[in-house]
Amino acid sequence: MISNIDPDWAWSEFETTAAAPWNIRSAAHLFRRAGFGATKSQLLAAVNVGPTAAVEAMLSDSQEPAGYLAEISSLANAGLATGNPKQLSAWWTYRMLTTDAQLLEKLTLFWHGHFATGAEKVEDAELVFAQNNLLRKFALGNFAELLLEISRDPAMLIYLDSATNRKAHPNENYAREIMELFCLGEGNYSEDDIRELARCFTGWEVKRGKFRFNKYQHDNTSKTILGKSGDFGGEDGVQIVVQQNSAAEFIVSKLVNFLVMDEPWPTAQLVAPLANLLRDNDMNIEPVVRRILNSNLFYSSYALGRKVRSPVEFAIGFLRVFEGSTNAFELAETMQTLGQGLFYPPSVKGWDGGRTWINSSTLLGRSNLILHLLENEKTRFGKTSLAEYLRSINAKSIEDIIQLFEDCLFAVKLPTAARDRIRQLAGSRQDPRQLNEAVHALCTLPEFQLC
Amino acid sequence: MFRNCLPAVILSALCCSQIHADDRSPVSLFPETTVLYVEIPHPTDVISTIFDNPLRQKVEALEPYKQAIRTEGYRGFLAGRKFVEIQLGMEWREAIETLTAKGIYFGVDSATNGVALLINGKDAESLELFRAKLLEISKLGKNPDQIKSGDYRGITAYEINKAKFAVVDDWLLITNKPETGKAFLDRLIDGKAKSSLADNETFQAARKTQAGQSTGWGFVNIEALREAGVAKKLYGGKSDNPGIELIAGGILNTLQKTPFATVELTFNNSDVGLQLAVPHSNDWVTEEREFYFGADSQGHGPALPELKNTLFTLSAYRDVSEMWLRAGDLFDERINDSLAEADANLTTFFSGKDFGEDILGSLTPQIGFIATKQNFENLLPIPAIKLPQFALVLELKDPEKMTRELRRTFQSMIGFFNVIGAMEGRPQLEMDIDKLANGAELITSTYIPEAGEEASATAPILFNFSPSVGFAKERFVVASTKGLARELVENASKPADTQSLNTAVRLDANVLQAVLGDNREQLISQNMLAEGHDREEAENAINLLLEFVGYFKDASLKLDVQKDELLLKFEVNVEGK
Repeated sequence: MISNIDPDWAWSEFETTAAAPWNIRSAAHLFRRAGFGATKSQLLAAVNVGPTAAVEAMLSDSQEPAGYLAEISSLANAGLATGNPKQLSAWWTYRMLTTDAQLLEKLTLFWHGHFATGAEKVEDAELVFAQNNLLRKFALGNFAELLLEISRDPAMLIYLDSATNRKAHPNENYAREIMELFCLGEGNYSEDDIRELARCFTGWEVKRGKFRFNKYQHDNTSKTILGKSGDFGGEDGVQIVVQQNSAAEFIVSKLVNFLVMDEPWPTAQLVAPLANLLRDNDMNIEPVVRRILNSNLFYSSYALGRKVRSPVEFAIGFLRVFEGSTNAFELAETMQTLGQGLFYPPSVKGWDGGRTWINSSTLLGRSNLILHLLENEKTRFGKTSLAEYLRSINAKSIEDIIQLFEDCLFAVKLPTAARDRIRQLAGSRQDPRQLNEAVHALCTLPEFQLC
Repeated sequence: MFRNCLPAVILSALCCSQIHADDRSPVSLFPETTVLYVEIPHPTDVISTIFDNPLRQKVEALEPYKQAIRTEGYRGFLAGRKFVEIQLGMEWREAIETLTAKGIYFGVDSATNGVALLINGKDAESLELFRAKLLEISKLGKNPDQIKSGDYRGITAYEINKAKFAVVDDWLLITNKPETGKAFLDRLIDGKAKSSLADNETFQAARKTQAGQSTGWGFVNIEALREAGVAKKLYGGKSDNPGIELIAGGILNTLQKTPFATVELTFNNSDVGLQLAVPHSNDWVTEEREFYFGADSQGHGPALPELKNTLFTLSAYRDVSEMWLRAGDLFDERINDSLAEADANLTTFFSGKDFGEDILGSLTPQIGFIATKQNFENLLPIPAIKLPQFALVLELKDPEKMTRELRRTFQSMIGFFNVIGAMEGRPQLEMDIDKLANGAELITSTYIPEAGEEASATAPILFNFSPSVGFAKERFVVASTKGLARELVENASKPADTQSLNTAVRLDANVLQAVLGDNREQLISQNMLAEGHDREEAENAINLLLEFVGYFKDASLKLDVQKDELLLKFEVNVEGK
């Protein structure tokens, strides 16, 4: 029961025990949650340095090398030149597959789901790309600043039909979402607060893809929001909202949900130490993420295998563990079919995640995705075939391969019956077709769907 | 395959007399009912062109090629090839040359619905060696029992999967049907049959049209196919597609009547050419297809001005006004409904002038299209994706009357674009009018960049365009850029009318290489995303593409309508820069 968890124990620095050791499997857990996955050699390196240093390394890797940034920026520009946001989905897929800053990218994905904005409606690749950069810039940064920036982000305002907000007709859309979805959560505000906050945002407009404050359309009269009164502007309104106690609790709860466990929603008592930490650090995200990833709870049975792999985690994770590369356009398209289109969240609520990722149709889709990756000539592992790659890392027998999968990709132990079936499929000879069948079977196991 | 007829076979074999080798000309081996026949009489020349071509050495010198041959797959292929070479006792080039020394012949027989491939080897001994060794190699495969054999008139025939083959002296026969196989074996054994393709009158007529020594030659008995109801749509005379009608309506018309078609392939170190020829008569041209051929089939495309960095040209004779007005005879109801709707809209757009009669009818049937590489040196902002510029080069029957009309329509169109663009947040077009010294007139429009974006080097794709029209005497130009429009009206003197072809298309490979080079960064990025390559791999792939394109000079397609023949020539010239 989550209510039985002692918050002090939960967020104390991870102490290895016989039940919760620091080994290749716990390192893999860290990389799956704080990133997309890691190769066996990366995991062994993490095991050597210990959990704290491994987390620090992930945090420091968030400063990507200038060369990589130039390359990835050039790639984005090529996509933007076409004006097609679908190109950006492929671009982000490529970035997720190739970046060393896995934690930064994973949290950018988190914020993309949090401040969900769909390119389908925005229809402007430049704007959704600018928002993506904004999310990445503040992914581990200051939440209050991020909230203010996102409140003035043209893509967000267009998405929420708030591109014009006149004093005669204050648009309540953004005011509602900032309270309900972005910052406070239900029950922490009233309808009056929404109406008053909407008046703060009057005069905020998007003209030709740029944010503009039209002072003539701003309501200069006094407003009362969440118990505070004054002639507030939009910036004041955002600040008042983010200063609420419930703001820190809401944000850390969502982070715990994203990094530790899909369900249940963490209790206020459990997240209180993290909320305090966030407030004590002026709403800076990095210390909270550091605490979560270094905590007892993160490596406990409450966390291990307690999340369902999202389509992105499923596909990118499989490829990253084996240094895979493939057609990013096709992969982005397939992930969208499976329910997670990058730049195409289903609504302003983002992805529900958890168990909703899985149904009979998406399970079949996941199976087909792995099959397609294995059979697609554009998919390479360490620039070669999967068979050759596995040989190169000394995974020569089917036992080696099963062990490698279990260590690097499985959040829970493989059932014996499943192992036997994989052995049968692989046969005695390791021809590539049989190997593909065995790998495909491994990736379609129910256990593989857990993160 | 031939096993079903083994008893008859043995009897026949006993009666089998001496083979009349001298009577076996390739054409005499195919039945009179052959509807498709293809021959490559000197494959060694083709092999030599491929193996000894300077282009091959250039490709082999490329780094990506060297990388490709280091792959496991290629090494496996080499090992397999070496094994076969050892078995045959000769290198694979020599093996192919020996096997095909005296020609490759292929045909489709309508009587048996079978296909046959005849390969005439160097001599009987060589063919026997091939037969024996290849059977041995096949038996080493996963399923040696799949090879079946039987005798027919003393000749052993084999079946692997669905292919059946037999060797008779220096001939190798491969076919798919037992009946077809027996008929061919009879001819090979007896040397001469009562009737053969050589006796077919249509074939004889086609043979007479063969120009000279070509690398490959083919014959299609269109009349027989038409009568047999094969590919009815092709001979039906209707395309039901305005695009196809415009491109190939005349060819479809001729196919309704023509008895045969011949195909000639020429292949040497500097070019590859393919010519399709069909008999043609002006009497066959139906009224609705006159738009394609002109009076007495004499219509020809215009001679186009020669511009620097020309990428692509199209010169064609098409009376589009006539085609538009005859649409009721050319297309089905669905297309006609769409065209009627388009006609009504376009008539409104052209201020009540009838689109087919007044607007299209104001143009002569000589249509030109030209695309050239854009020069971005003095252009700001520079688009991230750099497209070629292109223009329709048309001729007005009555410039005095139509210039004003078309100018006003262009102005309306730009206004319309600006309204739509404003609604969608796109940059606006600014218009300008320029009178040139030679009396020509240019009406141009230019996209105005956003403030701060004037000097951008990664501007949106629409900055490739500055839609413009130009008028210079009879010449009427509709261009994607004002630069090209200006060039075409400044260079308005009519080139010498040397053009005699109905349609001529040319693509310049060197300019194509330059256009691709302009977009190198874009191509590299697309390659990284689509292939999963890292930058180095993507650069290699794009460099290879650019180098490869550079090995070619140009490609052309010409439709020549002669008095009694319609010739469609496709040619690719190597020897680029």
